Amino acid sequence: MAASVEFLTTPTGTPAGTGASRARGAGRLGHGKRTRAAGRLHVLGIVVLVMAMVLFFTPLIASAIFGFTLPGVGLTFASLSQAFSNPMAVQAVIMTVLLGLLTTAASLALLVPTIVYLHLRAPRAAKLAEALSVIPIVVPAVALVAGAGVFFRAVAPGFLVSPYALVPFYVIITMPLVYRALDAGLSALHLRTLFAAAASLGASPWRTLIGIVLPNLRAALLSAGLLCMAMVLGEFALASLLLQYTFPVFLVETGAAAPRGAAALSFVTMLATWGLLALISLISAAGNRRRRTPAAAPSVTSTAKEQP
Amino acid sequence: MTSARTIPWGAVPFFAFVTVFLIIPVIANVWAALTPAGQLSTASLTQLAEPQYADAFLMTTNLSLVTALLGGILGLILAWALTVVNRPAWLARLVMSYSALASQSGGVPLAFAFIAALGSQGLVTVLVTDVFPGALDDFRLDSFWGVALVYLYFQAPLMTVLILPALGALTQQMSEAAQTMGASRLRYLTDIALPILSPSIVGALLLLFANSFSAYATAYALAGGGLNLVPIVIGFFLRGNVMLDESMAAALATGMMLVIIIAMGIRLLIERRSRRWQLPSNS
Amino acid sequence: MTTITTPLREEFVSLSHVMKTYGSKTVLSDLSLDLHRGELLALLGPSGCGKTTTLRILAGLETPDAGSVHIGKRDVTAVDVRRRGIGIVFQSYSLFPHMTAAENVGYGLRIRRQAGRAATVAELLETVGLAEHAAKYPAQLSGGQQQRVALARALALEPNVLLLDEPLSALDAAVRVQLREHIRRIQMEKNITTLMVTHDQEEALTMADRVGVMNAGRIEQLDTPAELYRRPVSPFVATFVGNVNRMPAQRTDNGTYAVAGRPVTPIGELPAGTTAATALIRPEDIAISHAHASGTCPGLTGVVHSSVLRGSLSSVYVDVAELPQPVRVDLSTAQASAFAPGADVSLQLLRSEAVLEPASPATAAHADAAHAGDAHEDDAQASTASGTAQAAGVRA
Repeated sequence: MAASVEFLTTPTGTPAGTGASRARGAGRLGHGKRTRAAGRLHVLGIVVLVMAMVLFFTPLIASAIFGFTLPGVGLTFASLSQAFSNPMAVQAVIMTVLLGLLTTAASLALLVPTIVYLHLRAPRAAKLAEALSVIPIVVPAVALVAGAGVFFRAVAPGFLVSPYALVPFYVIITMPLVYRALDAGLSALHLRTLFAAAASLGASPWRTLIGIVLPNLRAALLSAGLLCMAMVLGEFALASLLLQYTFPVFLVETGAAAPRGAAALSFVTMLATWGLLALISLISAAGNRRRRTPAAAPSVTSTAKEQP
Repeated sequence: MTSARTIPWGAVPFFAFVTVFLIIPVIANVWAALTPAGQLSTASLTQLAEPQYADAFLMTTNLSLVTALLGGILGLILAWALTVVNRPAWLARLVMSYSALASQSGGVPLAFAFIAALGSQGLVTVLVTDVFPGALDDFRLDSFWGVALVYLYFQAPLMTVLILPALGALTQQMSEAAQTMGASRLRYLTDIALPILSPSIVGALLLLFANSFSAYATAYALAGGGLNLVPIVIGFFLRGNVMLDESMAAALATGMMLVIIIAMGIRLLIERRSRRWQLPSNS
Repeated sequence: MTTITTPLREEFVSLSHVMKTYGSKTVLSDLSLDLHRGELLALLGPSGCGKTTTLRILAGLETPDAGSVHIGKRDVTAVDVRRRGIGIVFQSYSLFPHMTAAENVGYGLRIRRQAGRAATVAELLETVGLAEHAAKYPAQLSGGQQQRVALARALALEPNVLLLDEPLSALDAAVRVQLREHIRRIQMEKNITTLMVTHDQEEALTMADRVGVMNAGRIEQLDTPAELYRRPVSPFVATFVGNVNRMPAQRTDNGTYAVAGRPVTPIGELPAGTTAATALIRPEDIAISHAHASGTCPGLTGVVHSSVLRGSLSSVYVDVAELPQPVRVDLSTAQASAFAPGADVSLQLLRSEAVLEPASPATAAHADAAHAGDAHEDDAQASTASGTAQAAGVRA
């Protein structure tokens, strides 16, 4: 939930980092004249940042120590392996990864052709689709499950029993982010020009989509896919309330009896999720750099020239 | 060719999908809330006013207010620090990236990480009690303030991430221009900086509120059923832990969506109002 | 030339022996500068030359490490920005985005709680030609309009000194030219002492009463635009302001130098014992004629390589065997049409004085500076290019 909320707030779908770097580039916020006052503020700022880092890291380090050491034993994987002695554990992990992959595939298969089509043929419907894609933000997972329960139990009673019934709902809850990521990526491509140019060279629309659009969309596709994975790996509410046994559900169950095992698993999970998210920002940063290069290059050379 | 009047056939699968898996469930919720015994009635909705449910809404609102305000303040301080510190570039960059990650970190793993730190046998708990015996006796992670503390872990950095771009809109030249016109540091803050920032700040706070209001996993993993929060109560109904009353669960979910929609609606309004002067200047 | 009716040459603003260092980097070393009452003085130089720091020290936004600042008869070195009586127009984005044009202009008056604000604001907006846009927010105004609001705002408190910090550099070329005249007219009407900082030589030459060319924290030459252009004191100034051709010069027995077969007196001083030098010759100071017509006149001969139309003037580029680069000759477009590529031509110098640069390795640094002039053209292109990219980005 937090993830989807965050993404919405950057109006043009640009990563928040852009604004942040601008903020820092703009220099001091207040009256920056007196160097001594500025120096004092600077020190205060560093204190704040260092404190933030300490607070940020405390739970993470605590979970690592708590999960991977035992009093009198030292470093050990005992808690972790004990947690995995539960025969359901491996099954839960496999199910979660499978759900992540299926969600990613379903999400991309549904959204990429739709957004391309909307960009090319139906700009007005595109506005509607974009608005719809944002709705999951105001529909909490518990509310979605409650409503889905009412509807599907009445229409297709067997549907919600299968663990794979989670996939369409996961597509829904990841949609605000994934739609934005894909939409931003496609907007940067100037699709109309691209399709017109390809058509002038004799390519069919499908060939253009597969041969030209998708390869140029690699960064956006990868980001969207990783987002799906990161969100599904941590999703608890839907799975738990639809009574499916996924990794987060297993984790909560473990935590009740074996807090050390849960801490170890939590540490690993947080690292993995953050790794995925960090990868996304790396990818989008690389994508931005590549796109900006042609415009930025001349100004770089000319300033270099100007300096004697 | 691209007449706006024609039906966008290519997007039909998408609209159908969203209708079946999002729109209909939402409507089904409202419908079920309004038809408790198969008949149109406001019985379930009026039941929301009963103490047990009203208390849940009150507590959830309190928790959301507290974490939004405290998280907002902490997040603002952190964002300010990020704009001031540019010399050890790595420090600012590290905190930036870490805020972005922490703002997304709500969920089961975070709850267990906090239990490892501040639970009854947690490392920080042990360390603190060694030095100040009894200092943390009254503190419990499954209490209101315990959950609030854990929520702050993602609320504060979320505020930072949300507000940083707005801080970037305050240029040093604005502050210098204000000085040449005789504005004191305080005048600059009250006349220029705060009015420019306030729509973003209020908008971000509302977002933090909604974020906390709908959070389920963190609270559940920390407190189980011990805390009377709306999402948790709904969860009880759905899991069948209490007698299954579909209409009551739907009424609670409807009420919850209403609160969030109101918060986000206000946010939209504020955004609209300030958009007049927030347009990019390439007209 | 422009100030024939020279007013009282009263020193109104003066910076004396100003020093400024940032860490180990010296930005200004012993800089002194006087502004006369009512004049517009432009500081021109490449980026990093210290011109903006000079402006900021005069404004009180930076404190000098040593030296003093006087406005009127008053020592303001330690006086706060807010009490210096200055108005600044920044490069861009300094308008308060949440205030309308009128509110922006009236902000300083509001702080002073001055009565009759509305009338003053209306008058100022009228002056800059934006009366009908008073209720608009900056985001609803074009870049040029925003800068005019910024100018009105800077004038609102009737400052003693007006400071313009690259006021036009973020604007499109056409708007820039228009606004240049606008600012200059208002400045002369109000007779307000003005310091402008710019890296655009054309801007400096067309707007200013006097221009100071800065290089590496020093003012190399402070003169009227005409003097600066015709009699630059150093190779740096000659190459930074206007275009030059580089031609070899040999010392002759009578103390002059021979350039293209013609004796030339150096402007400024050359190190003693300089025998070989490079002459910096302006493109319009060379006459071009067809080789067969020139008869036995001394000069250079070459072949027309190409010509570039620049409006009323054209540049003819001539390949000369003795020189590594083609010589540029500027002449009226009508005359230039007579010299088609491939034509054999001869070139003669029209002036008997020129800036000379010793042709020793020690002056290699100056040779680099010669490109600074070119860099501006690139710079302008680059900024428009990135401007377009930005606009596209916003739209996307």
